[in-house]
Formats: sequence, C-alpha cells, structure tokens
Amino acid sequence: MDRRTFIKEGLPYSVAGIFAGLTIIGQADQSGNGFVLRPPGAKSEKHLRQHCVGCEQCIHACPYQAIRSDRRILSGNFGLPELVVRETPCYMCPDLPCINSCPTEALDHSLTDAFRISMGTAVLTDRGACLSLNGIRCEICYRVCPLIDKAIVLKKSPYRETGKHTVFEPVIKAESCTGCGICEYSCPLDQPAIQVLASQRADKSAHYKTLSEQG
Amino acid sequence: MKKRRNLSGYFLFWRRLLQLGIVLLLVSPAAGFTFFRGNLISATLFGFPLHDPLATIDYFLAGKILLLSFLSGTFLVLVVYWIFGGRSFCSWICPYHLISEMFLPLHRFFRRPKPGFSSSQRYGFLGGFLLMSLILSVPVFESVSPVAAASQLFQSLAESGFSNQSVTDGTGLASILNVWFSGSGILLWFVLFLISIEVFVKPGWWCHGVCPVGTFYSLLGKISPLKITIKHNACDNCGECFKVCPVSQVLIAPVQGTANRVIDSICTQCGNCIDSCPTRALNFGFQFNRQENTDVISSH
Repeated sequence: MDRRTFIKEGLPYSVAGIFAGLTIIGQADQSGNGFVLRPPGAKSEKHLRQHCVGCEQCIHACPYQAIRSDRRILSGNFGLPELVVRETPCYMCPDLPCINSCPTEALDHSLTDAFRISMGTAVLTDRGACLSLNGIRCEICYRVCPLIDKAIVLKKSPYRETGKHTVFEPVIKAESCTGCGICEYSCPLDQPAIQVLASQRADKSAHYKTLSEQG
Repeated sequence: MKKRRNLSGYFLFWRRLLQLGIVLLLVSPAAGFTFFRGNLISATLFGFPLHDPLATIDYFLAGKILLLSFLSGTFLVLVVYWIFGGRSFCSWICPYHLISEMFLPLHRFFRRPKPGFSSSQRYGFLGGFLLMSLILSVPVFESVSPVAAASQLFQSLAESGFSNQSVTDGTGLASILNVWFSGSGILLWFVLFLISIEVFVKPGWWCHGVCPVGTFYSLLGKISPLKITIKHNACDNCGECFKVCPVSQVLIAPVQGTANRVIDSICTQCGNCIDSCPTRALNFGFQFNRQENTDVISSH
C-alpha cells in the first residue's frame, strides 16, 4: 500500500477511532464514590431513568444553577440532572422550582415541603481531618445547616489531649438530613471532611465510623 | 429567451436564520432569559408545553406509562411538522444537522460519491431503537441522541461564555483534562465522531441513514401537504438541483417527469434545490388533493 492510499483510506478510520475512544474514556465516574446526587424529589436511580425525559427544565428553573446535566453520553445516564454540592449545593427553595418545572413524575410532585427532601445523607467521612474533632471550634457545618439542631447537632465531650477543653463534635441525624450538601460545600478543608452519600449507605455507618473502617 | 437566474440562496438565508434562532433559543436560559426552558425533547415556550413525539413514544415504551400531560404538547408539535412537511425538522431546526452541514465543504474536499439511502435501513433503526427501549426499560435513543448532544454542546459553550467563571477555572493540567476528557468535552468528541464518519465515509450517514427522529418525521411527511413541486415545462434538465440536494434520490422522479412533486418523504424540505434552479421550475407548494398527482402521471 502506498502512502497516498494509506492517507485516503486509513486515516479517516483512525480519526473516527480517536474520537470514539475519547468519548468512551470520558465515561469514567469522576466523583469516585459511585454516587451521583439527584435533584429534590428524585426517588431512585431506576425510577429517574425511566421517568426523566432529559428536558433540562429543572436545570433552567434552579435559581442557583446548582443542577446540571449528566454529560456522559454512553453511560445510560445521559441528560439526567445531577448536583455537585462541592461546587454548588441545594439551597432548598421553599417553593421547589425544580419539582414544579418537571413535566413528568421523575421528580415527585407530591413533595411540597422543602424540609422533607431526601437526596442523600451527610456523613462525617474523614474524622481524622475534621477540625472540630481536633479541638478547634470550627463547627461551620453545624452553623450553615438549614436544619440546625435538627439535622446536625453538637455533641460535647472532654478533649483528652489537654484534659480541660471540650470537643464540639458535629453529629448528623440521618432522619432529618435532606442531603442538600451545604455542609459539604462549606467545609473549609481542601478535601471536605463531611460528605453527602446515598441514604442507604449512610444509614449503616451510624456516623461514628470513617468510611475506611466500614470497608 | 428566458432569463436564467436562480434565487441565489433565498431559502438558505431564512434557513440559516431559523437554525441560528433555535441555537439562541437553546442557550437563552444560560444567558438569564426565562421565556424558554428545556430543549428539543421537551420544553416550555412562553408557558406552552412542547414535546417531541418520538421521545413521548420512547418514554411510553420504556416507562410503560402514558404521559397524559404530554399529549397536548405532542399534538401541537405533530400538527406543526405535518403542515411544514415532516423532515423540515431536520434541515430547519435540528442543531446536529446544522453542525453536520458546516462540515459539508470537507466532504467535497474528500470527493466521496453522492450516497443513496435505503428506507428499509432507516425503518429498521427506528424499530430497533424503540424495541430496545421496550426491552431494556430505558429510553435508549434519548440516551445516545446526537440531537440532544449537539444542543447540550451549544448550551455548555454558552454557559462557559456567559458565566464569569471560565472553563479554565482552577489551575494546572488537571482542570483542563477534567473539562476536555470528562465534562462537556465528551459531547464534542461524540459529535466529532459522527461527523468524521459523515465526512470520510458517507455524507449524511447519521441524519439520512440512521437517525430515528428523522425517520419518524419522514413517516409524518408522507401525509403532509407541503411538498416541493415542479413545473415540467420550465425544467430543462440541467441537473443543478441534484448537485445541492443532500438526498438527491428524491429528485429523480419529479425531474424525469413521472411526478409533479417530490414524493419520497426522506426529503428534508431544505429548499436547496429551489435556490439552485436556474429556470425556477421548483417551488414549495401545498397539495391536499392526492388524486391530482396520478392525473399528471397518466397524462405523460
């Protein structure tokens, strides 16, 4: 085969192959914990996939632009709405514009109370890094929580290192937590010590163990 | 002697204007406007719900639930495309078709022969996609739709343009890799993959050969009154229309004189042939009476 034939016949397929490869590489799960936060009112991944038409109306209705579209086109979740709370959390609008804009039952229209949202549950995933547990009065996640003293409470215990101070430990009450992610968004650490996880996984953890201890 | 002068891009001008308008409509929420919300699958325009009929069928098959709230919006869209000739969606509205058309000069550079498109292949893809949705309980086509991918591509470009935080927010190679190889970059690679097949292998491979949206609208176009009509006494068989038509097989019957209009519903009503015709034999025409057509054929 001479060079001319090679360029004319072979090159097109390699160009198409490169683009196809890049599309496939991009499907990798970026969040790392295998859990994508869905907007308020989404029941389950399966229910959402069957009912969401990918019309992006919730995305356009969100006043904080917290909801964005899943762009992994071959993953089967293409076009589904997702939240990345470390970038923009859900501020739990009382009138729930995302649910009201949904033309289908993908987002549960019977949900009218923003405090009854359950997108996930916050978990203190990195107890070693949490400033409050290291004796510093950080407590930012407790202060910013829209359900302060309901979803996050402060548990006081003696600080063993000094023997005379108190540790103010943020403890999450899973039954009240909406998974809005304002705590994760506000955590001052480079890698947030508190993270929103799927409610099923968070229930088992009892919030007193690190993720690595759970295995 | 009759003056030979074509319309020099009259319909092309209006078509590009509408295509640009649709792209602007799709990116308008990112710019802060509220009159339009959604995309080409399902949208709210000035409070009116609009739903793509094929998507409604696809979600009905996948979810096994009839979206009753969708019926009015679907009906409105069906009526509009029935009046305007079915596949007019493809050439006048679809953002993927717009990108595909932008790469046509490249296709001419590679000098691929003009392709033909088989209807049975297109119907096969339409049936296959719908059957997969029924079996897998997931709207299969909507999750790989280049129509949605192209509109999301325009939207993500607009978002990075309108918002103050730029695409290169953050520092270093990691953020660049994150944008280009995960995020909205995937959409670009996916669209370029399909475009590269269209450019190198077969022009219009996706739009006229596979796309179930186009196939669905071509079925609607079969009963549509708007067709491209031909005046046989004006046509001098110069062949200019064949050069510009993306699906030139549709022009064979009318130009040869066996029909007085384009019958094959794969025609996208783009108007390229009307623009190119030096004798102005071609034009858009409404014909409700189907009997008239057979009369012309018998008189020849």
